[in-house]
Amino acid sequence: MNGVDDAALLEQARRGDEGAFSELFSRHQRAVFRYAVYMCGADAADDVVQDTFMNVLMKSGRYDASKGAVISYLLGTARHLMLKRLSRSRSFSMEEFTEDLNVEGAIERETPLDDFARQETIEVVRAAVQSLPPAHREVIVLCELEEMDYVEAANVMQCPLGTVRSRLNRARALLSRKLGGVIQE
Amino acid sequence: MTRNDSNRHDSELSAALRALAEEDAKLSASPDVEKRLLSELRAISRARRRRTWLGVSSVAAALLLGIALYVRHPSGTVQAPSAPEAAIAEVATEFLPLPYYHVPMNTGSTVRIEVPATALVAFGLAPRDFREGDGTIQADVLVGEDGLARAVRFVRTLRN
Repeated sequence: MNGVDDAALLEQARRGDEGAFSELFSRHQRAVFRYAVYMCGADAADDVVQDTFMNVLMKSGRYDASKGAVISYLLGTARHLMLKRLSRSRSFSMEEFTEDLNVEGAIERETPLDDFARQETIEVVRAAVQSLPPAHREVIVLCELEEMDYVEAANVMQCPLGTVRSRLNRARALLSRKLGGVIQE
Repeated sequence: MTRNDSNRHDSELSAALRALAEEDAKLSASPDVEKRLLSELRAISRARRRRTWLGVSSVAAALLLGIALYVRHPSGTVQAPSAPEAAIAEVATEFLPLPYYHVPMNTGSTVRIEVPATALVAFGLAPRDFREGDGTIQADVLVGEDGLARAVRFVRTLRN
């Protein structure tokens, strides 16, 4: 199974091939899990992974290789399911997820530097990423942590390429300001 | 902040994010998730096999029924109509649902068959003076592209 490409594995898994499914799962479950942890918290991440793979197994014929890699398809599905899940909570606002709002407010929130003395640098960076507004957090997770290119990230985020670029610049600027004292150590 | 400071800050941020990504590489869904998904996959496969078997057996049953009806009532060669075509009219019931009527279909076609007139009884359509052994009646069966019969209507030919 190692040499089989993702699209073929997905097709075989949909036909009930357990080996193909296990290979596909082991290749991509971590990326989906990490994305879910950052976007809707560790408690819900297992459920998001399960729902995502279940969803792509059940909906045959929905994957179009010309529109992006299987990992983009999986993350796009995870994103859709998370938005549905989050929209059920009263405090959730779809705009927060899709618009570059409240950037200054994000800076004014309690910064992870307040806890710096008690945490490892890496945990401070993680906390800084998690404290970003959702739209900025998402672009950092996809482009920096998952190392996706702009095209793939735009595919997942369902937005134009230029938006990915500008949002990433703003997100990095926000992170720099939050981490100013840490990354110059 | 000078351009050099800004560049240094930028590359330090990238390094910090890379370190976080390396740390996060260990994160993984619980092993139970894969077990649950594999068990769902098996259930889906079982259901699919059952549907396929039902489909095949329905088609086989329809064929056997058709053959049986043909053997009982061979129509032989097509007879020329005794009257001009324009003088022949048909009256038909509405299409009546069969057990697979709820299964979605994209395309379908109607097949005309002869069935024992007792079939009318099953649909509550037998006339008052109906008796067992009243011969056959024509029926149009609506069959989907999957071979499953969705509906039937009964047809009576009127000759003027």
